[in-house]
Amino acid sequence: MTVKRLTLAAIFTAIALAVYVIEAMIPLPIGLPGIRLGLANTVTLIVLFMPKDGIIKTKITGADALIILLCRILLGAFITGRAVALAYSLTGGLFALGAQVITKRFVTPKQIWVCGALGAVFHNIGQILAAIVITGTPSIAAYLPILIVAGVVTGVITGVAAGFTVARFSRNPA
Amino acid sequence: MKKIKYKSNIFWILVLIGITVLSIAAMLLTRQASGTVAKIYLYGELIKTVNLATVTEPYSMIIEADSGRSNTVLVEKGRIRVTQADCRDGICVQQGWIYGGLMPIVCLPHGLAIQIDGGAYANIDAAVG
Repeated sequence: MTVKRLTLAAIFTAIALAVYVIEAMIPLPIGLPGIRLGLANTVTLIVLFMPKDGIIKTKITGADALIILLCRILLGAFITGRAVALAYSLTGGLFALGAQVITKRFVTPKQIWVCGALGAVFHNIGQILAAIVITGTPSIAAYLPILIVAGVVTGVITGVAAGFTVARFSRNPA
Repeated sequence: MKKIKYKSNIFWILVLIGITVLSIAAMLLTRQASGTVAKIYLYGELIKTVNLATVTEPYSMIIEADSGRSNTVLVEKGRIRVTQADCRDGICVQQGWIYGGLMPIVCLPHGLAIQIDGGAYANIDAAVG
């Protein structure tokens, strides 16, 4: 790991962390459990879709995305005081990253929103699975449909946001 | 009819709409039906069973979770809710009353889940409990 790559990963972690903490402070008007925009995921998407010949010359890979994600979740849990929710965040985050890495193979660089949507959906699936295991209550799965619908909506929004950002990193912004 | 190309935007939009429609269908199929027996679980363990049909006076109880944390549960005839939780978000409190159906009240930080089983199960539970 070169110094430049390490610095980049640290910057992205800091951005993700700031976004995550600010988002955690915004109360949601919807009385539904677990639904939020998932803004911190834009950073994961940006890292995954970083253009190779863009204004940043250093190669940044899926492995960096994983490191950034883990650092953000661990630090975020302690900053927001939600260390209890660590298991849920980790499962959700890893599911989302996995889904996005796989989806990336099937989409064009312009279709980050697809990645975002499927990532958000799998984030919610992961959290539900964690909740089922931790509470031992399989009927929590009843929340899955609404969380999937929410995931598609919020995922497309964050995906589009990530797309705009990634365009700024390329040599010839679209 | 124009053929839809794989990897085109339309293709992905259709995929996402498909996922959404399937989920909404699943939601409609699992709509709330009223039940009678509320079961309170803590970390997957059944700690309390309340027959909501026989409740005459509303009462509340405190469910103790780990490390001194707790939820207050209010029981009325035919319905149950969480009125207080000393966690950060209080999602279980926001959720309000549940009357039955598949959707349980869940407090993830405390590992608490409250579920109402329908009439069909009630008899079996009565026999066991």
